[in-house]
Amino acid sequence: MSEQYKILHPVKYYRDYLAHNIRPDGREFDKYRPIVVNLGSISTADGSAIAKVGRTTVVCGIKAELCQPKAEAANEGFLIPNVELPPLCSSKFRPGPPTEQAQVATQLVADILKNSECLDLKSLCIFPDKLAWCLFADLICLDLDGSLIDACMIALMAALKSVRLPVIDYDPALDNKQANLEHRKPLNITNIPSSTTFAKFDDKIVMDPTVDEEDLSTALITIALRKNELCFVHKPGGASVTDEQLLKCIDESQKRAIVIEGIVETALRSLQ
Amino acid sequence: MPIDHKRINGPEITIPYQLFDKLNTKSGKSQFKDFVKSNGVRIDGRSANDHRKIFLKTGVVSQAKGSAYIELDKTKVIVSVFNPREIPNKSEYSSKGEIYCEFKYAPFSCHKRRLHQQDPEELQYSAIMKQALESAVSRHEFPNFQVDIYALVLHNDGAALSAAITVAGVALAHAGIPMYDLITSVTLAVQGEFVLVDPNLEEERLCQVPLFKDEQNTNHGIVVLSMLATHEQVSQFYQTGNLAMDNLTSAIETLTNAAKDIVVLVKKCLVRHVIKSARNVED
Repeated sequence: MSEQYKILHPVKYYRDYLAHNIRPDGREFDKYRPIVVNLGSISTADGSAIAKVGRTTVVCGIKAELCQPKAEAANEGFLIPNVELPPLCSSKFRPGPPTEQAQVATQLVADILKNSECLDLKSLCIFPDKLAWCLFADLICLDLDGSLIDACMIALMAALKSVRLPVIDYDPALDNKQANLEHRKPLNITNIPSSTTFAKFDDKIVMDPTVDEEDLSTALITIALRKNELCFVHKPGGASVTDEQLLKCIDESQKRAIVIEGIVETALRSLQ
Repeated sequence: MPIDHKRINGPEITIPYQLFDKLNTKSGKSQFKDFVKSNGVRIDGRSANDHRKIFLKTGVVSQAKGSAYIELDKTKVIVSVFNPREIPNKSEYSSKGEIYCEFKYAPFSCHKRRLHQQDPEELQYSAIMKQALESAVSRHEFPNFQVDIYALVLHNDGAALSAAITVAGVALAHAGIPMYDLITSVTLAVQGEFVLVDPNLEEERLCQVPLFKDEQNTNHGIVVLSMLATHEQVSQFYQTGNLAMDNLTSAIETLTNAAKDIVVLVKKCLVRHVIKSARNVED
């Protein structure tokens, strides 16, 4: 009965729940879904992690390759994120080039990485102007149930922390490269940025929306933090949000960021 | 790498660092002998006819009608199946439904990074998957509609295609798509007189070229066979390399026996799912 009501009158169905200060999955407005992280399961990748935020699942695999640095940044390597929303994660997507949602997600992740300065690209340079690492961070969503960016950031940071790059002996005079696959070193990740998504519906704001809530919402806000500093706020159009609401969101994100950092650190310890 | 305007591009030329590893001076034959001893015992302790341990789970993608995940030791494949939908770009009515299969390796699943677009090998494997699954699905039950099956290999450690076909069968059953029978698939790697069921990545790689030419035995290659269990019918057969006719018949026999062994696991997995959903309906 409730299933039919949900399909016929989705907005009214959701409004009825919100009127009682609860959401269809039983959470209150400021409660987030459980987070699960698993590291290092894909040995063909140089670093890998799977993150689940509720049912949203994102797997991140990092492949390292050697390249020549760009002329304008001769002592920097590359970190190339890419978010893929394959048709398997949701019936909304069809095979083909990346959809707008995927392109926006990729750009968001790239911006958060750049703003948070979690990985100094200079540390990826092996020899200025001649040889540097290029890390391809491919994020593939396996199940899309809202809060995509949150899951992507957790998977990406966990995977980056699990990367072990081989030591490369480079002779610039002979252009001779020798890789020592036994001797591997981790990356120097200075902080763990994380993001939290909020959805606005009528005049209420809910934290960590599911995909049904995201579709019904009138505005979406994504806030990325590192330690106690804001590194990215994304509110693409939608209904307006008051100052207090936005500050309250930032406050709640801060609390969640601490929890996420703890989870990633614990998962990392299991790897060692 | 060609410039992709819809993704963030890396530098034009990147080289995998594995190319600069210590030079491998061992011949292919001695490498193979490292992996398979002369008495047929393989490096992980399996005999030539042993399958790797399988982990199967249904219901891993909440947004799909049916989904399943398989692990063949390290090989990991996830498949999701969606509800029948109208066939795009079609005007005539067809009395049989279509299935659309997409097989894709994740960029980080193989030793060399793969591109996001499907390359010819993946297109070929998608066609093989479609051929295998078409015989198992009751296509007349959804005329003029198309069932989408998407397979993604998260980690390739050999036998990814047969893993994908087996798990696609489980996902189709989980989705409730009407089927004639359960489908399972096994890979065989042949090198000289060694016939290995369910090879891992290294064994697959070493069976691509003949290594025992000096012993007059040029048998080598990979054979993939998919079988419908109860009907005992082969729905798909794929072979690369050189295989003598007698070896071919014995290979098919080995494969059909190995495929039958896996059916038990598929059945168990589906029964577990049915019991779980029955319990949910009760509550």
